[in-house]
Amino acid sequence: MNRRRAAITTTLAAAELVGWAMVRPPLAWAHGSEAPGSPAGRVVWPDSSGYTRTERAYAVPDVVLTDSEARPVRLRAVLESGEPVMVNFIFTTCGTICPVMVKVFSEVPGKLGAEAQRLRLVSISIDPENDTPARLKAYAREHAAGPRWQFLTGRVQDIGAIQRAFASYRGDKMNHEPVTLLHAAAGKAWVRIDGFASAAELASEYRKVLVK
Amino acid sequence: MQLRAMLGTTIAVLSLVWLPGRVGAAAPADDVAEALRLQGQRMYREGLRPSGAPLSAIGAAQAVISGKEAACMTCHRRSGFGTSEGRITIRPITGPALRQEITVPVRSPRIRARLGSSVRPPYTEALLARALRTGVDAAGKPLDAAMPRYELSDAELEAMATYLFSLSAQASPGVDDQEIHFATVIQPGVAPEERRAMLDVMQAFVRDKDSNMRQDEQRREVGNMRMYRAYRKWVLHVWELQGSSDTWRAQLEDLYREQPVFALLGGLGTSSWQPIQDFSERFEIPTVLPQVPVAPQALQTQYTFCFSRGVVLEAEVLARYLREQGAAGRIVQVYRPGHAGASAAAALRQTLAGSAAAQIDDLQLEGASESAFWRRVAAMRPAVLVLWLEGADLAHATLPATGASLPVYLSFQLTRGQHPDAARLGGADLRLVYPSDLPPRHDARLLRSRFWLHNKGLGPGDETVQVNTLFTMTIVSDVIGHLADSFSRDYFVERLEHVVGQTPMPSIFPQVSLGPGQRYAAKGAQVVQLAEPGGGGMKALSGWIVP
Repeated sequence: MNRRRAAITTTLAAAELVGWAMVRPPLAWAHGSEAPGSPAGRVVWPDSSGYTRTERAYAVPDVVLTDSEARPVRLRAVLESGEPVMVNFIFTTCGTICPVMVKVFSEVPGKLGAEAQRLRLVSISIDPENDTPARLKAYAREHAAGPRWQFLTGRVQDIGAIQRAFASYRGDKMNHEPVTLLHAAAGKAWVRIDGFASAAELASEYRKVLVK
Repeated sequence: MQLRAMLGTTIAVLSLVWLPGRVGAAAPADDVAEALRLQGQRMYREGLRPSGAPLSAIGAAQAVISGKEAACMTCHRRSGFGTSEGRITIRPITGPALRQEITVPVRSPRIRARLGSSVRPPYTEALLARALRTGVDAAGKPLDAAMPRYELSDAELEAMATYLFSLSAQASPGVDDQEIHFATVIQPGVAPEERRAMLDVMQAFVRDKDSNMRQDEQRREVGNMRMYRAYRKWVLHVWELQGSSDTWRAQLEDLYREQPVFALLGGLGTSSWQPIQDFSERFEIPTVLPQVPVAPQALQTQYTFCFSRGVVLEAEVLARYLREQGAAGRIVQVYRPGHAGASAAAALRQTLAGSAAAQIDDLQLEGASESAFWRRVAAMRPAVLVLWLEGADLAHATLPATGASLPVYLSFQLTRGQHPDAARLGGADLRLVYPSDLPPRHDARLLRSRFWLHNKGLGPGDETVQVNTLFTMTIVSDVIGHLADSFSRDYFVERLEHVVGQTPMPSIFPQVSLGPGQRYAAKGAQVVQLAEPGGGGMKALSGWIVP
């Protein structure tokens, strides 16, 4: 029993030390570099926060989706237009993952400045029956989406086919995971980003993809 | 020794997620504390500080978030029990959860993968402040990257702590140590076959549930597995409303005072569900999938879940279909004023409003459905006839034979399989707005339900009501299982949102799903042609339309 208690105490102490050792300099708050009124501690992030990057070949299905103005949109025309494109999967009632993904997308053009001119952003709904064009239009407006950011919905079977084509199908939408896909142009490999990448990180990945 | 430690571990870890509702601090009684609690609630639900300014934080991916997007409720949900999305598990932050001490590391790799190996003391106000500002838990371990790190003053933290330590600290009414109580509400004027269909399924289901098939009652007393201690006997009450709808709310309140219930299951009605919905919202009682032709139109209800938007959905689907077909010429709609059909007619008119080509005229049926009335309909020379009427009214409809076959549209919701004879309608081309699917897929999907009905000795009846009721009872049972012994209505609502899309039990609707804040499970329909000349069943005229 004593050995067990000692083991726990040691583990806790070690965890505490490791935790404090993983301090990342906090981003500038609105009022300065430390949380106002906070005790002496600085903001701590876990070591595992980050993303993984892989390159894949994906075959884009030839389906016709609908944009937020209820216009038909051929998926290949958007994803293999010759222009660089970033894609993610969202649904408007998502509470945890999509708000972060959408926030990051909204910041990416700002990080790129003039380089964002040719970039298209595409968010495809994985809850197509609820996410009607009207709902997507309201959602786009809420997130101040510019004209080069399209929100697409469609038939349930087509949305399923697209998710499968990009190895992102998890059955029910509640099983979805954060994934972003980048593509310099038709015929080039897709870069797959699993996890949460910040706007700065996505911008940097975008530049790398263009250079190739 | 090893086994006992493992069991102890399991319970301790399960305690992190499933906690008895009764344990924990109740909200402090005095006014100042209550004011703090409400301030905390506003931050929690709306992301607004006591000053009215938005909350600000750094979230995942270093995104700066504020206001509603930084509100705790977005991820931890209204109940505070949290949820999961993909591989991200959002932990409970209810009062009892925060006050729980987790002392033993998890050794099972499977449980660790799911819940992590949390080892932490109970949260105090100071530890909570540290967690929210710097992102380390009560044991000093960094919180997940998805958890924001907040900018909060000491006063704001006090309000937040007051709220969180009281959040979901008590079980909802309608549950005691032995039983969980449910009620089903039936409006007057419901057809006897529908009433019988629903109650037969409910009573058979509850009878099975309470038959102690898995020796649940004995398992409660022996062993230390929390899931058995969560077992409650189901008690179903039937609340039959009488008289006019403006007395229903008072009747419901009397019934509820007499016997508090945890939730309202199913329900039947031919007129507006609004009074029952109002009762449900006021007392914060979940109402699960009543079968009514006109769904409550207040879209943002917290507690009432509907299968679909009923005849209004059908009208919007039909309007889109007609527009796609290039609706031209005179469209005549027939409905009874003050009935469900009136809402449908209004919705069709509104959806087609932009289409210049369509001319829509309404004809209201009052009194008996007699030949004199139908002569008036014929005299209007419609190019398209839309009948928002029930089977009984359609049975007496007659139209003269014209040269061309007149397209006549019917509502599935209102006719319930009682279709008029095309010959009596002058050889009309009968069509139906149909929210279900066609054979063979339809029958393959419903096989499971039909076997159950057969095995319970429930003979032919209103199959739509039977199948939908079995669906409702099954998902409620699944959700109650998920709650274990955390009998929180808000948690029930959140779990319902989560599981509806994943259940293998079918309903009459081929596609059902919900999500956070969603309240209508089925969102589409198709237009079908009834019996082709020369026999044959329904034939699809349109694809699946989601308005």
